[in-house]
Amino acid sequence: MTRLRAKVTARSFIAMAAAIAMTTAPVLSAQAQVVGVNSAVTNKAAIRKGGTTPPVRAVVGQKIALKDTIQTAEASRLQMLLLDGSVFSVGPNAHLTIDRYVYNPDRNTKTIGASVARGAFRFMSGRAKQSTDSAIRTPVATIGIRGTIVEGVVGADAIAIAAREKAVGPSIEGDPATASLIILRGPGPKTQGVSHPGAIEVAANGKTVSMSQPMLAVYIPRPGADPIGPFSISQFGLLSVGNLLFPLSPAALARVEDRLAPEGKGILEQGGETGAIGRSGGVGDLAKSAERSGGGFLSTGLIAGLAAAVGAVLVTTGSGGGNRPVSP
Amino acid sequence: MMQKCGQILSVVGALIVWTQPALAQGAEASDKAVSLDLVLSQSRDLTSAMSLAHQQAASGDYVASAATLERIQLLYSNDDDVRLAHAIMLCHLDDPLGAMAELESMADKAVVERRWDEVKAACGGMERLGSSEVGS
Repeated sequence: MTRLRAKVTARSFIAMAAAIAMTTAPVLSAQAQVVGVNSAVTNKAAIRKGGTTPPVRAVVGQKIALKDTIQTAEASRLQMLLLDGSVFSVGPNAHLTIDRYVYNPDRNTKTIGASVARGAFRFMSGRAKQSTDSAIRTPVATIGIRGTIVEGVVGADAIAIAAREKAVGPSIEGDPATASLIILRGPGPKTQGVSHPGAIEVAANGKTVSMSQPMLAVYIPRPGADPIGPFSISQFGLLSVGNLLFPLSPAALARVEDRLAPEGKGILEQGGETGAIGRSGGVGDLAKSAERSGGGFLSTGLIAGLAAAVGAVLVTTGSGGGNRPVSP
Repeated sequence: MMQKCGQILSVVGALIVWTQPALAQGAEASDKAVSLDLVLSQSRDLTSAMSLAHQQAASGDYVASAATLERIQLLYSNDDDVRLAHAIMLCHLDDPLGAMAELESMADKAVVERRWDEVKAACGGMERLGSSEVGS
C-alpha cells in the first residue's frame, strides 16, 4: 500500500513537472520569437508568419517574429527595427527572413542570422556588440558581419549595376535569380560617436573576401562563381543601389544621370524599378551581350524570355519590373 | 520514497531554473519592444521624426540617427534637406564617399550651400561639391 502511494506520488510529481514544462514552453517560444517591429512600410509588403502561412499585409508597428518572411511588391519598401536597435531596410520585390536572433541586453551582445533571397537590402547594426557568427545570407554568398552598415542587391538588378562597374564589366555572365552585389558602407575606421568600425567577410564558392573600408564591394555573379572584388564601387553604382532602397526624386535622378551615368539618361527611373535599370543596359543588354558571346550561363531561351518579360512589364506598367512581382 | 521525491523535486527545480532565464529574456525582449514602440511613436510625423534624428545624433548614436533619417525618407519626405542631413550622418560614420554620393544626388545645390558649415564640420576637408553650379 505504502509502495503504491509512493508510486502515485511520484507520478503526480512527474505529471506536475511535465505540466510545468508544457505550460512554460509555449510562453517561452511565443515571447522569445519576437525580434522587432516594422518601422516603415511603403505601398505593398507582406509577412508570412514562420515563412509558411498565407501572406498578411505588413503595417507599421507590426511585430516581427523569428522565421517570419518579409516580401515586398514592386515600388514597395519596408524598414524593420530589431530589438537591439539594428535596422533592416528592403527595396522592391525583396524577400527577407530573420533566421536567427539572440539578444542579451545585460551583456549587450547579439547574434543575427538573416537571409535575403532577392531584392535590395541595407542592414545597420545596433549598438549591441555582434557575435562573430552573425551573418546575412544570399543565395550565393554568406556575409559575416561585425558592427556594420552593409547593403546589397540580389537578382537582376545586381547584374545590371555590377555590369557598369569597371572591376566587373558587362561580359561577366550572371544568374538573374541569385547574382549578389554586396557593399560595405561603414562605419569607417574614424567613425565618431558611439558606433564602432564595421567590417564584413563575404564567403562564396569556398573563397572569402574581407572588407573594412566603406564603399568596397564584392560581386558574386552566379552559383559556383568566385567572388569578384573587393573593388571600390562607383558613385553611380552606389546611387543605383540607393535608388532601389530610398528612391531619388525626378530632379535628383536627372542630375545623377547627367553627371554620373556612364551611358547618359534613361538608366535609372524613379522608384528604382528593376526594369528601369534593365531597360537600358540591364537584363536586356546583358541578354544581347550574352547572345553575342554565344550564350554562356544564360541559355538563349532564357535570354529571350527575360528580354520579353522586361519588355512586357515595361509596356503594361510603365515602371518596369524584371523580377516577378510579389502579391502580398 | 523520500529519495525518489527528492530526485523528482530536483527535476522540477531544474526545469524552473532552466525556464527562468529564458522567461526573463522574453520579458526583456518585451521591454525592448516597448522602447521600439517609443521610437515608433516618435516617428509618427515628420517633425517628431526629425527631432528624434537630432536627439540621436546629439547623443552620438549616428547609426540610429541615419536609420531614422532613412525612415523619414520612406515615410514622409525625400527632399534635399533630409538627404543633406543623411549625408552629414554618413560623414560622422566615416563614409565620406557615401556622403559625397548623397550630396551629388541632391537636385538643389543651394541647400548644400546654405548648410555648408554643417557639412564642413562633419565632413572635414571635403571638397565643396558642385559649388560652381550653385546659382547656375
